[in-house]
Amino acid sequence: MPCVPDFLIVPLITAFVVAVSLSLLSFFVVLKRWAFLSVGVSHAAFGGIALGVLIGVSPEFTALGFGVVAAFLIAYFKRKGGFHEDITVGVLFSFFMAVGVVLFALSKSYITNAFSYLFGNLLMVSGGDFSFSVALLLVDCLFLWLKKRELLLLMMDEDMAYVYGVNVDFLYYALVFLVTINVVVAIKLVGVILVTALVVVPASVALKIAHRFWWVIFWSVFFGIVSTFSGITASLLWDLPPGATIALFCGILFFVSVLKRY
Amino acid sequence: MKKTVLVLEDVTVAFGSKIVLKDISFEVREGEFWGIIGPNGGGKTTLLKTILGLIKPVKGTVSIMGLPPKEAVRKGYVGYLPQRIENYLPLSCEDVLSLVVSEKREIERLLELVGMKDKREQPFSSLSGGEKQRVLIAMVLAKKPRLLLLDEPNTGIDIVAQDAFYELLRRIKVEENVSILMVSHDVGVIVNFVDRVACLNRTLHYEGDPRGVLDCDLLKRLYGTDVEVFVHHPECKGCHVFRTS
Ligand SMILES: Nc1ncnc2c1ncn2[C@@H]1O[C@H](COP(=O)(O)OP(=O)(O)OP(=O)(O)O)[C@@H](O)[C@H]1O
Repeated sequence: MPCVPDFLIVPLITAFVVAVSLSLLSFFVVLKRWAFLSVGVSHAAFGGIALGVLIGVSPEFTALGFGVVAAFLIAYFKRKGGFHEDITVGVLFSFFMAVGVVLFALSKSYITNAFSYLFGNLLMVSGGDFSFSVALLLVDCLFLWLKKRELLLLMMDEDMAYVYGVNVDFLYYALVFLVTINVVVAIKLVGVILVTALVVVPASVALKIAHRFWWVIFWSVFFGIVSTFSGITASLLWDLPPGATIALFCGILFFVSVLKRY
Repeated sequence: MKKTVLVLEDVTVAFGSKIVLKDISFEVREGEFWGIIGPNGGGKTTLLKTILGLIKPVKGTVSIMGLPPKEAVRKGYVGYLPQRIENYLPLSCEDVLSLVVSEKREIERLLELVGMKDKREQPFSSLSGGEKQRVLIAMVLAKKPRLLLLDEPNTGIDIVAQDAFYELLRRIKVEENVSILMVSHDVGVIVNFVDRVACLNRTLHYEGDPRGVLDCDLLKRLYGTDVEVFVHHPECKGCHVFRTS
């Protein structure tokens, strides 16, 4: 890694904390087939960011608001089966994204700001983001530790989980909420467009090599950290957006894991 | 007279204006093994979900051991195996059971009961379809339910494994004193193993002795067309094809 200037230390540590958080939840995203949900959430958050920038409110809050609304709509329709999931996500994600683009255009800060949020920018990460991401990581760990049994039953089958006394609705939406917050928090680092890579790839690869729950979680976190480390190093070396380089390494990791099977 | 475990009285279920089940009534007694057959979309899964309390009937009542469904489920009287479960869970057979049982000795007993003790450390995802079903049956039995609801548990399992699976269910029925309600598409197979059959296509077309199912009029009415049923006997002694035309 190149010599790291002081002002990058906090963003870098934050990046690792965020990578660990996303990799922890990656297992559930993969098993629940929520890749598209994370796409929907991150793009919806972009609309929120733009609104925040335009009206002068902290974009973190507006992003979270938009992300949560989108996540609950997508999750609700997915469960109730009213619409096909890809229709809900397709509609919501283009709608919120369009809101974002229009608002950014109106706020006249379109080019620089929007680019940072789309592909990530380490320089946007503040001390506040660091504290929030550490707190979030603790919540993720606690949730996983306390609810492991219920979560695994939920992954197995929702109706079966209900028979075993799991409060299915609560757990389902709690997980959706947690994934949403984690995705929104990662946007500054990895960007709206590429955050999905870090939610989907770690567990997909880990599930190919491990067959016990905690090992899958371990390898997931390991791959999450490796992709983030490699991505950020490349980003600093060649002055590229970190989101793009992290997603590139996630992709390479995935393709290697697929090739190894054949 | 054996005790009644499940009673359905005039149960009608609708999704919006679409009536999926109409005036269904029957009783399942202690230790009975029921097969539920019917065409796709006939309402079999909906019936099981109504019994579980996941769907509320617009008319009629369901009672399990004298209790409303949700309460009976809460008390552990009901076990349920859905049509499909997530296949890629990174768990060993023991891990699967430990989701619902805490004592190690009980886990061993259940795995022994279903003949899976030797494979207790094997990853669940690496088991064959038939073996997975056995582990799941052990899991479902863990709460010592009085009523087992199985939704097409034999989909994708070859006929030899199926026979063994049905034999296992018959044994469990006696040893664990549990009533079983199983949805299946294999008309010709289940008639050999179950005590009673319910034929369901929106309404109950038949309920009673399994031998009565192989009736041309009944099967035509149930499936709405002529059908051929391969009637399978264990070890294929006397297997034949039954045609309604
Ligand atoms: N949540 C729902 N909302 C609206 N309609 C539904 C819902 N669930 C089931 N249905 C409808 O109810 C009918 C019965 O479905 P059900 O799944 O119970 O049939 P089934 O007999 O189990 O079919 P299969 O053999 O294919 O599993 C079908 O027409 C189905 O489309």
